[in-house]
Amino acid sequence: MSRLWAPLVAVVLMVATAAILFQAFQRQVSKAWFAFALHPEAIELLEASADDQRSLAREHPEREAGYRSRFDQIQTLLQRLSILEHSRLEMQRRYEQVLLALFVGTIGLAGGLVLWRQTRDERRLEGLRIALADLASGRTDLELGERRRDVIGRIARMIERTSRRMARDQKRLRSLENLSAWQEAARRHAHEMRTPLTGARLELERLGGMVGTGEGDGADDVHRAIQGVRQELDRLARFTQAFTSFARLPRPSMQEIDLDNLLHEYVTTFAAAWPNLELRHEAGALGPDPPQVAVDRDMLRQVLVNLCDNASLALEEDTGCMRFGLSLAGDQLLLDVADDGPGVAESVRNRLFEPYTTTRGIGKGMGLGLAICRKILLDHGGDLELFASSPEGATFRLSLPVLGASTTSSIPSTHASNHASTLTSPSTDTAADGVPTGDSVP
Amino acid sequence: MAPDPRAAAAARLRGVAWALAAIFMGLLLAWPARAQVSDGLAPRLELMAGESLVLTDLPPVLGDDEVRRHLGTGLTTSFDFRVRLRAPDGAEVLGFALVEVRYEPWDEVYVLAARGLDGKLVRDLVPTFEVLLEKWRALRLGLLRPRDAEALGRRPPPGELRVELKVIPFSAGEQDDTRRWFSESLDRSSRGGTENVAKSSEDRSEALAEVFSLLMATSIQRTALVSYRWPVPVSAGAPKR
Repeated sequence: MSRLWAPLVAVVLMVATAAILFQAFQRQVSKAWFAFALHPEAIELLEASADDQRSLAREHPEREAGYRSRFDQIQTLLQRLSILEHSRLEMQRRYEQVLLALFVGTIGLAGGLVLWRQTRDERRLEGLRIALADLASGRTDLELGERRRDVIGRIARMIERTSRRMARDQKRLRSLENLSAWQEAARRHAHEMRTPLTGARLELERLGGMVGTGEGDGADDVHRAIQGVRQELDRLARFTQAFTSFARLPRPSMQEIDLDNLLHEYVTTFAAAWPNLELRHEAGALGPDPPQVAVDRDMLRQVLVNLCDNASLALEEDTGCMRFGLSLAGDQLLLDVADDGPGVAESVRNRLFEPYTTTRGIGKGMGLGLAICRKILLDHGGDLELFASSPEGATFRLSLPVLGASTTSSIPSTHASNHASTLTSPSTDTAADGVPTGDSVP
Repeated sequence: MAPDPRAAAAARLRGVAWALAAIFMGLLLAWPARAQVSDGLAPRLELMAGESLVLTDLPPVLGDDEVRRHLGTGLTTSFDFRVRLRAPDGAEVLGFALVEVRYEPWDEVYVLAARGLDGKLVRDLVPTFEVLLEKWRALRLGLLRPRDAEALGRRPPPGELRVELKVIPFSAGEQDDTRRWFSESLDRSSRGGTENVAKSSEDRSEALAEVFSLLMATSIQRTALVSYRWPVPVSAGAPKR
């Protein structure tokens, strides 16, 4: 409240000064105006005219009625002017009061408006200060509720966007750290398993050699046993290979592409890949000049194949449809991949992208597919999430930073950052302070 | 014992406050004294037994330059006489009489009309100003309603009564007529300048103009042209035959 005093006093002084000056000025004006309106010369002429009417009536008695009528009109006008003359001071005072009230009202209204705007802007600036302090302390879910299009509103929206990006980056960072830990564990497991696996395979081959090719004396049984053990070892080797694949994901080789085109190619190429799955993509959803993204075509295709695999397996004997839809959300290009299968089980939704999470039976899957897919998207500066799931189907949303939007992730992935020199990296387009430059402040 | 300086300061302050209050009260009392007080030309008040309190020997107010000049305008000039007195039972009684003079410039005659609260009305056509003065002087205005006169009894009230006269330059009808004419003139002038303006802004402008003309028209007031005040003793008059 104390901050209001200074502008309030200033406004009151301004209004008072303006009112005094106005009053002094317009008093002179109104005085002249009233004097002019009741000019004595005009009144004298009217009086003379009235006398003339009477004289004329005496000279022309036959037209007395007309002269009398005109005389009465003039006389009435004179009487009215006489009344105005009598009320002149009061009328002048009233006139000045009305004008002064209008003037003071207008100035006061303007002053009040300025005062109100100043108070409001100060309050909004204080909101920005608090939001910036929150942002500096690491809060990321900031909603300032500013909807105005002025400078403060634009700064507020920048702060909101920055906080949202920070939240997204923090989430990505946590996911990357988590996946890195899982990758390290997978690498160690693969390494620890591969050595005894190789030894066991060699010993098995040697045992087969010792038994020879003879028949009888139980040699057939031994060979069958060896074959059985070999098959189990092969299965173990495949699992070990899956560990290795997860642990050593290749670095994405970025290319600037039109995702709409890529999807069109994909749907055409893989149209018959899953007998129970129909692939659909409506091209041109983003208009004639779709935004470009930087992706590794093969890796993105691997993600799409994985999602289609999962959908096909979930459908089991049924047939279904896989829809690919593109949309733009700020600096992100969104690809929704929706199937009409049974949806994702409630029990695994929260940890769907964690490695070794699967709903399939033992030996039918490692549960690494979606973890690898997400890792690929994170390495692209984007993300993969389960957008929606219901008994009518599941929708996965892939987000990728749009090239040239200059608002992409400020946290480069460990792999993608190494390729920044070959193509515009997501991190290189980010403004120095993480604030998008598209919404500039004059 | 030394005087307390704070008490002395407070006493000084009180003194100043009283002085200011006295000046203020003096100004307040002096405010209505703008009216002219004339002692040599006062009218007479007679208590007519069983009739009324009568105002006679009206002073030659009509001869006042300003009043005489105003009479020539043809407007109805009202002479508003008032007197306040106390009845024997302590109730305040208002005495009132009104004289209206209007000059007919075409016929060059004065129309004189006088009436008091006693209900008597005098109307006369007067050919010249000199005759008008005579008629004026001869007027006898009954100031009290009959029941107030009865309540007053035969004994004149002690001391002097204050007789007030206000000369009002025009009648209420003339005031209304001029207000209407003035408003219409303002409205006509404000409408004349908005022919090419859009309808909505024209409506707003007209509404504002109407408010303005109303404010201006209501400033036409029937304020007194001149006022008089006389302290007049009441004398007992002979009953009228």
